[in-house]
Amino acid sequence: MDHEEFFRWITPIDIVDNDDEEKEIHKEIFSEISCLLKECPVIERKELEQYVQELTIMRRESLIKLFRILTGTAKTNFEIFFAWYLIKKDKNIKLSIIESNRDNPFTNRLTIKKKEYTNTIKNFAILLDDPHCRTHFFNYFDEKNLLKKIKAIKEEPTMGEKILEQLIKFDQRGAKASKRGSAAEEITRKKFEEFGLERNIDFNLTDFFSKELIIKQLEKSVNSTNKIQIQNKINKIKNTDLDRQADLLLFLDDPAIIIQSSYYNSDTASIAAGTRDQNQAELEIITTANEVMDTNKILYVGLIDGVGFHSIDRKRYESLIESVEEYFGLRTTSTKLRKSLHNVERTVPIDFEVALFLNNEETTEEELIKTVKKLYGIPDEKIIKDLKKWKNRNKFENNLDKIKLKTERVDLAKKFCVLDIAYLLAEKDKEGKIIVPGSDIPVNIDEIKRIILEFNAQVEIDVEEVIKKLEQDMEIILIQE
Amino acid sequence: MTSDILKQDLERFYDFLTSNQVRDFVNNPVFKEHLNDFKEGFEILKTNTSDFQDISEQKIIKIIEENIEKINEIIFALRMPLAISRMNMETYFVADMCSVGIFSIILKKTGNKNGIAYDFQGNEIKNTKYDDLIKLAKDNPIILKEIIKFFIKLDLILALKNYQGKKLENILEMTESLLTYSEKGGGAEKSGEMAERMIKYKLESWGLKKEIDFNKNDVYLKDILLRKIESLEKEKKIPKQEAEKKKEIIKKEKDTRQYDLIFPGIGEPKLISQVVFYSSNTGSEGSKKVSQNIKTETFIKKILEENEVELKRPIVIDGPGWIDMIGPLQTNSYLNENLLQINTVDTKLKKMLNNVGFVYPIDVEMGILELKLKNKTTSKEKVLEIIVNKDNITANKDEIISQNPQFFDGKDDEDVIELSKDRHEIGKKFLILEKLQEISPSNESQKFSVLIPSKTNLEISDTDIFINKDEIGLQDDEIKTILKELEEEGTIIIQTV
Repeated sequence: MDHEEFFRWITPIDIVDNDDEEKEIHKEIFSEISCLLKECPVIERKELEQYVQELTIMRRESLIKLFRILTGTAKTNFEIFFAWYLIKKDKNIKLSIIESNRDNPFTNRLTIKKKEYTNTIKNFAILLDDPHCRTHFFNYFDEKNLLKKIKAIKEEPTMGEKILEQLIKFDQRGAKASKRGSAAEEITRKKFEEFGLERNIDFNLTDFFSKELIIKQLEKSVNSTNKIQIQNKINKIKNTDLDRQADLLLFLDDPAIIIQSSYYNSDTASIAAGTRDQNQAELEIITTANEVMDTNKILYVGLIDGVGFHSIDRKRYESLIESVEEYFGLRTTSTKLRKSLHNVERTVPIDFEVALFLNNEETTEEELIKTVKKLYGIPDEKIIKDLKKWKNRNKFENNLDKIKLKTERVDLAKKFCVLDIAYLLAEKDKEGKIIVPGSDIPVNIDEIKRIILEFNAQVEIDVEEVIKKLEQDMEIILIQE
Repeated sequence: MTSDILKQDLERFYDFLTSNQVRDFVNNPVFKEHLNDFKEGFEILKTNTSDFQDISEQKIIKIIEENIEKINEIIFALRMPLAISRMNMETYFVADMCSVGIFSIILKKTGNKNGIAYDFQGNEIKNTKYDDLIKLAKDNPIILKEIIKFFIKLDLILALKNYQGKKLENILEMTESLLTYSEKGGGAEKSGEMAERMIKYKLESWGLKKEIDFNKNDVYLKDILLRKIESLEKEKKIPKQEAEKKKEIIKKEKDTRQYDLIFPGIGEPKLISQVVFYSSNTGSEGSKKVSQNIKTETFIKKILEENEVELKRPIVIDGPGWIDMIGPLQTNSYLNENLLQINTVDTKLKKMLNNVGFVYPIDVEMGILELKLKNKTTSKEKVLEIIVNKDNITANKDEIISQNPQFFDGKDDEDVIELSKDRHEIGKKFLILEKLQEISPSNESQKFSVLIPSKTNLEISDTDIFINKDEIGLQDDEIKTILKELEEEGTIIIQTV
């Protein structure tokens, strides 16, 4: 693999921007601390215990949040360790195993006075009614110097608030990290929409079992000559332990690409290795299925990205990348992933829109097919099939015997036109300034202009401006003077 | 597995789950060191900025340059109020350096392996872990400047001004919480290491030697299998040609899985294990282990074929994280007789190791002690006799002698084998543990019952124990004291009736 290329295109920013959510938590925590300081002029254990008793369950939940943030205790850790603390400190509190109506036969609950509780903040807030649990609760936080910390804030309110702000930031990191994977998938979905694809029609919104999908593909491929062979493969796949869910699928009506995402913003230690093993198991099944399918083959692609790869052990990321057939990142979805689609002879509406743009926004079907072929190298019959599909879905305007680019899609077509030419057609030139995925040798802006002219395009296009926009979107890299 | 058995196994798993001392990072010496680092860095900054009144980018750089030996402490004090963890530095700072063109990625070839490094001013930087970055900043003003710039972008000046005129004890109190969050990742990693250390400490208490009886560092599965194949070839259990073929397959395997425990540390591996210690809910990690386990098992079976039974593979699962992860615990088929926990090392793991042919100093010591308690002579012959007749011991007399030369070398059958004084207490503890496992539960409890991990967890009553006390050879009080001690360390559970 090309390590330089991989690291060049890693997304260098934090993609989870939930400032609003963080602001809400700030509001909640700051009002909770100000109430506490107002209602408890003396910060002592007895006063605090009394204060807690008088609060509603919802307010207690907020107060627990404040206490755990003040003492540097993450939510999950609090739920686990406080439950464990209760079990260890109180012989009357047990961890019971009870039957579950979910995926597994059993689950566990805290049993207190013959009543069962899940380890949630809400239940702990309810349990504060019980004097024993309340004592344990304050003992737990006493061990973490809670009182001293509240007193420090009382004495130094401005500094205390500033540090509390940073503590909230730290506390939210776990929540943000858990959202990062789905945020990366959502960014990719938005990119698919730029391609002209639609949610729930062309691509999925929720994870799906890849094993089931592969079996369906095999079933679709049955004909009179391969029936036994396919059935054998289906039986073999059914007997495997694979129960993995895949993140993204293109396309829902006629699957071509399964995408598994691995977006890491920190060293995830053995998680990358675990994902690699899951990928390898999944790829093995896909390869087995592809061997007997002529028309319904699946390409197994990884969305592999995130600054975490700067610190993940090199052997681990290398084998993760090798565990998929092809990979792309958030910055290379428009280039590398689209090329993967073209390689399996599939198109997306933007391919036709770029071709339309280069034909002065309007042309005949014949000319359009020619241009798409010239740009992306897809066989005629496949282009014709897909054009019919996209036309039926009203992706373009029909103007008598011509096909026309929709006005609202002109800017996108312009952007993709410059990007595709730079990425797919332009000759590399050491004197150039534009780096596109796939090579460390740049492209010259004049070369892009020359190719546009070669298509006889008479449309207005400010290539410099489009380049600027592509750089802002991080889809290309401009070499600085 | 039937539903009742699964339920009982789950209950027992949680009964023997290790206590949270392993995870308590705040009480870890490393945490105190970090806090001291902060304090030192903070004092330097405070003194040199007239209590944070004279603060600017240049001033901070100057302070660090003038106190370059304390760069680690000062940077620590700067990143704490900004909520920047070590990992943030290793990822976002490095990514930032790449995006501004100060670092550029270079391809690095070592032999046949490809790797990446960073080019900085024509020099190759191989490692960008936090400590490496600090060292780099110490030696290079450009990196130092960039680190400070990175902090300034995150509002460093305001954060420092906020300290103006504040009491140190209050600042430290709040910083402790920041530190708990900031070093949480490191703390979790340390708790895994600590779990391994606790197991290895237990092994050493049996008289085992690191690097000889068990491994010091983690070992790749590939290396374990190569050692196994070589041994099987020597023992003529597989022909040379076949062994060579297998070695080739092993060498080509790309899997990088490592094992935490290998018995013995040198020579033919007979029992290997991984320690899966989760200090918190690790999300999808639990289910990822399923694929890993299936893959590893398939590979081991493919290589060893019918000899796979000669490499036992129990798994150590522990840590409070499993309280929140009862799902993966059931789906991963972990709850079988191969499951070990830190608290079952002295019982289940020891039994497994004895079963595969190992006899350790503690076994010999228990043999001597048992004879002594029954006022019998501890001659070499008698000691060997008592060991070899134990249910869990599979080694013969010669093997026992060769594995424990310190007791038997140069001794005749009639010669007395002595037990060193400092090993009496531990010998008694293990003797009781062994005897408890041999008792068949048959009587109702009077005052208490004892739950002891065995192949399956065994519950025996106090009546059972004291009826069999002649077998143990200890007085009631002594038995009670040792039981209490075993309960405190988590090896057994005493339930009062």
